[in-house]
Amino acid sequence: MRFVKAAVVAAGVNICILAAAVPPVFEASTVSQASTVSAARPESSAQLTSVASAVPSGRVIPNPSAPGTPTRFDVFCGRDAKSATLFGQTLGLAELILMQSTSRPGEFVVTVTLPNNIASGRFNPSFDCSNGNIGKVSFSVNPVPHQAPETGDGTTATETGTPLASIGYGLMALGALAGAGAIVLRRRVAHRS
Amino acid sequence: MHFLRNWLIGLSLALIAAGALSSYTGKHQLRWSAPPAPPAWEARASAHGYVAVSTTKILARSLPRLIWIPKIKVWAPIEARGLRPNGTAVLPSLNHPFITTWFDRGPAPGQRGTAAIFGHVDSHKVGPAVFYKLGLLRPGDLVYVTLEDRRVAIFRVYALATYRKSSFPTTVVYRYTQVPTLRLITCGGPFDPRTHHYLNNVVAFALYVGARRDPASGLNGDRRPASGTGGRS
Repeated sequence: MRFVKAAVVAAGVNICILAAAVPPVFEASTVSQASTVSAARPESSAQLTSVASAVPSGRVIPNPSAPGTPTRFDVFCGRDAKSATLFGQTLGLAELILMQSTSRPGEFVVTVTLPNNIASGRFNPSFDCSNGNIGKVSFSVNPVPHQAPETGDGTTATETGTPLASIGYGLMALGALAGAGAIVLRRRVAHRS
Repeated sequence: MHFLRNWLIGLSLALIAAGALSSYTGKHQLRWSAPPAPPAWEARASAHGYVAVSTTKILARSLPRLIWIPKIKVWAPIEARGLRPNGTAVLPSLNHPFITTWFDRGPAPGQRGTAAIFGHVDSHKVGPAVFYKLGLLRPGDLVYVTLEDRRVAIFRVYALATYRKSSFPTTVVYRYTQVPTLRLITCGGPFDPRTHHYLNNVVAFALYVGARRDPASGLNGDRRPASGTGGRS
């Protein structure tokens, strides 16, 4: 009996664990907006959640970004760093972009607007810290269509011919019939007289 | 008899004259009215500087399959398309004027960022095409996009704009947004018979407001979304 009870309890616990693992039907999942790459270590899942998990490290928000989009670079240089500089040349921006310190020691941030003509692909701009650390942040730029789309051939703006034309042809045919009737009547009258 | 003959002659002349006038007018009259454009006040209040705010959880990437816009009775399949070598978006074929295309190099509807869906305004095959009435949308109208995972992403129109093609603001239309947004894009405005192109684009800007799971979403083309009575434009 004790064995049966233990088995029932274990089965119940397993069902609870399985139920928790299955996502609810109506709940939308949340997608990570930022990604992080450190120059010091290979990318890891821990680095995806915190900019300060490695020294130096950084992240870009949003990632992927798009041309013309204000894009934030967030780097961590180490607690002893007093300033940081982002190298913007690979992005088509100023060569040196001074980053602003945040409330967290050693963390610096700058928001730049990506050029409208930036090519799509992966970018790895470097940053330089005052304490000698040098790192790279990696992010992608999605392409966007460059020109206005051509969606239509002008049929509704140029094609003429409404049902009124068909109605008109019908009326003319009826008129011709009436005229023919009048001619027939005239001939009959002439024939009788 | 004489009276009847004169009456027939009069009727004949009147019918022929009316018929000639009617056929001339009908032959030279445009078969369809021009595509509706957003009113000037609406176009002025475009999406420039608009800050979209949404507290709804975003969706995982899933390919959009159907678009449903009750206000303008559009219910159309969506095909995923990328870019041409010249940098323009690949659009639906004019031979399939009731198909829309989604720009698949950008976010999917319901993901953070701007999802773009294109549709023709007209086509020689049918006359008015899938987005012919896009200019009739107004802020507050709803747009439903059924995704491959059978979720339906719901968007609310917040702005409409008409842009000259010669100065089409790609940054305004396609730029990243912090929250999921949608752009519905077609042609409009005056038509240039020399270049065979419309001079303007009509763009509807919509904000993601939520999602629902809809098993009867018509992904197989046999059933429409569960609510509403929209039909194909």
